[in-house]
Amino acid sequence: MGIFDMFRKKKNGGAHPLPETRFPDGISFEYVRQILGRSDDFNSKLIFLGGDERIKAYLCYIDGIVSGESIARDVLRPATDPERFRDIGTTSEAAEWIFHGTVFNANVQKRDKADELIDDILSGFCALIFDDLGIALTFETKTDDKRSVEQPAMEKSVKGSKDSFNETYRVNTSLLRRKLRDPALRIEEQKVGRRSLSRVGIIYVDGLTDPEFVAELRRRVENIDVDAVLSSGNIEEYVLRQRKTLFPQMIMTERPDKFAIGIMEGRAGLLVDGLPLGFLMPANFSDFFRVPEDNSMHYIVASMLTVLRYIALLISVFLPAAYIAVTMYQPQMMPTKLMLSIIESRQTVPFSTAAEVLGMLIVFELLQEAGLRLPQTVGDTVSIIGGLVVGQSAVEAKVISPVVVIIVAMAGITGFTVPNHDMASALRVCRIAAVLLALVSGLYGMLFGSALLMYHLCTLESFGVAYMQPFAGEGDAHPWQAVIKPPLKARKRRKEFLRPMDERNQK
Amino acid sequence: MKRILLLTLACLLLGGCSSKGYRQIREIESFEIVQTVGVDYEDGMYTVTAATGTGPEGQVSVLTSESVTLARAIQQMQNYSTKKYIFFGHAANYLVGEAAAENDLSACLEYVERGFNMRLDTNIFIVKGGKAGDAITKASEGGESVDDHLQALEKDVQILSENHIFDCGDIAEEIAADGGAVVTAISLWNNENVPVGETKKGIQVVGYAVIVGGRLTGYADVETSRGITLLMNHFVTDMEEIPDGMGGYAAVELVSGKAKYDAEFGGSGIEKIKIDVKLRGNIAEMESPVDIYDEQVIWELERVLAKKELERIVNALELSRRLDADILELGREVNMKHPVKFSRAREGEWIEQLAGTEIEVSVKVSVDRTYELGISPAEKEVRESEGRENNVQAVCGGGGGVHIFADIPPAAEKRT
Repeated sequence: MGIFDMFRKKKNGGAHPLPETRFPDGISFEYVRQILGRSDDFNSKLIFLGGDERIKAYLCYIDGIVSGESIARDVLRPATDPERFRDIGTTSEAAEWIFHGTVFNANVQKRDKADELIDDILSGFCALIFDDLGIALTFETKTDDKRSVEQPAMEKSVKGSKDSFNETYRVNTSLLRRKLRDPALRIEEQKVGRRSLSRVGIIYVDGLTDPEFVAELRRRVENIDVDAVLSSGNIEEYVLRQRKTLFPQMIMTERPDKFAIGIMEGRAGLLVDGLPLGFLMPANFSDFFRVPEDNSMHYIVASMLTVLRYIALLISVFLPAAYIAVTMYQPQMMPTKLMLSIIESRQTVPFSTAAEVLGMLIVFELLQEAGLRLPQTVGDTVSIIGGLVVGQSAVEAKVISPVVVIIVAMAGITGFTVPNHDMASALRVCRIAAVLLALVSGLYGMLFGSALLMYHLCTLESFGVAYMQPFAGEGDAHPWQAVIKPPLKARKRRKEFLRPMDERNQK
Repeated sequence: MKRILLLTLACLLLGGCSSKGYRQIREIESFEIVQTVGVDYEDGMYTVTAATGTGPEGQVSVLTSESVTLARAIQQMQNYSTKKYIFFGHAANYLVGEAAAENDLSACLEYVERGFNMRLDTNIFIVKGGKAGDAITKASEGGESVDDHLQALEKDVQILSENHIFDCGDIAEEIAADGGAVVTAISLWNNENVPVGETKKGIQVVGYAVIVGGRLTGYADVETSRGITLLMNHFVTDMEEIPDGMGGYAAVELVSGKAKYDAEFGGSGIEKIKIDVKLRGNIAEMESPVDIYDEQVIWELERVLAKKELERIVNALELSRRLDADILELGREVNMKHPVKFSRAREGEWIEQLAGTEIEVSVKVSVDRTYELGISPAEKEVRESEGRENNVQAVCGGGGGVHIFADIPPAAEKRT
């Protein structure tokens, strides 16, 4: 067994341990109580509809996820009002009248399967269970306790809209609807996760998005068979086929405007209940170097910033490696004055160049990681202490040379200019790999690493679209289109490689 | 993944980098960077003198080594140095002593060409009437490195376009092509801007050293060097003082100069090489009572300037003829203009053909701005359309001497 096979062989095959239909029996209050009654937040109550003891129903709900006021006002009060049930004599008639509006609630569902009923109750509905009929009516009485729409935390907006997705699926779809009032905007919902039963919405525009993307996405979402979808990684890992890459193949965004732009370009989108993110696919390399603000800026400024981001990418990945390669292997390549100042700065440093650079890179990553998840005030302190101790003090103590601090800081800072966090993380790994290759064989190793990286990137695909489009791959798209942004009036056609059904986007 | 790992290992292990190569990796702080290398030749032995730049405490290290070959001498120097590794990769200047250049300059360049220690873009100089080692040692006295002198010199020679500093690659290429080349000649001089009682040596440019057949054969003085620089299209700027005949002077700053080459071909090959030189300048200073608003004055200035430049060019061409070498790279220029015709016409030795080829030189100087009222663009246009230009001509005849083809006409005559 090879070292690569030992992981493969242990992959779990067969069906998920939880059956698809979890509660196969018919609907009865007793059955529901058996399923949910052991939890203390399950509440139930026998009520007489219209005050008539002959017409009974059980009101069930989960405390905390429903609004008590809404249940009392919109369900209990009309359901127990004798006036409304004056001419009704049977439970069947009562259920029918309630379903058709005697109890006024915008979202009423009739359920005859226990699975659906339990799902509704757990989704913030209250249920009226009619034991005599073996059915239940569910009313949407969700609590309003949810995070309001806030400013994006990761993708800061300068000139664009300031709203961001949050954990509530319906809020996210509403944010999108407010931006795209196109009746052809389709939101297809599926339930994913046998335990979490998370709603996943496939978003596309009928007549614009390539139906193949939608069909493929639908199929892949259907095939997700997991216990719970609680993180973005769950979706990404199952929806994408090629996960043997560091590079993101789906655009993840917390900004509805960016999501809407992607949908209007002809991409398909995913919104997942509980995740404050939208996913767009297909995605290619150049997409991760664009920000929605590019559309708000003058096209020359936007183009210049995009070019700078690509330059930053090169600096971020290759600068520390180039420093090692040139100082250790090819010192002839350095300008004389630079070499002299590096020599002067390294005279009292006790570490080798390689140890210095690698050490600083690791310290930089640790500082970044330490500051990332701490509260902002503590995070700032970590940054200050890190900056002072690692930077200034280490240089003053002549433990490291100032040139290496500059090199590592430049690589780090330029890495932050990459707008996408996943792409920036991938580049961090590439940076360290490039340093190791440069350490082993200088510029040769570095160039070999970059060739390997290019090879890898060129073999990637996202939903059948070459990842390196328009730099490589089929079609007439020219590489400059990824870098230079023409004026809006000149961008009359959507990106060809997204295969939009409607190619033109303006007159 | 497995394939990628295997490919990575294969590339790293089979890339031609042996463990010997890895052992030679040195930390950058262990380098002593040599910035100037001098080579002298005496009694069959090469003496290599290497000087570092000025260190942080104002010190300059000068090292010397001797051997039959340059490569061995340099390696010896690296070997005997215990403190630091003597690194030649950043040598910016290569000084060749007169004796070494007379013996064989191409042999001195051999080490630079073949080896990886020194770069081909290292500037090359020939020390006129002296040794490179002496020039390096004496110029390094007093805490200034010879590199400081030469760096300043590299920029300074451009101010008056007296010279152009070539690199080893250029010279090696020219010697390989036809054996002829010009190299900046330098010499030591006493710097008087030092306190009384102290002596300090500086380095000055004294024209070009002329290389024929890979050996130093003579020198071009500073005036002739200006002609050479102009003909080789290395002109940058110049400042000329023109007497007005009444005791006053006008200073004209020449801001551009370009020589264009053409050739006439006949049945026997190249019959005539035409060199069209154009210079543009502005009046920088007028220490003269003459009326600057008078166009005749400006025209006269242009005429005198053209004559002056023509004399320099003719001197340069004469020198080339005298030494029987294409030091001005006329062959290359004609080849670039007419590559097919030139390759057909060039049968046998180019130098022999060049000796029998007539060369026609035309110089035109235009003073564009007086920084006074000046000549209006409209008037300028009229002048040009009427052919009232200061175009002076000379012809170097095929017989070897220089013959004035068309005497420079007096200004009034030309204007009519």
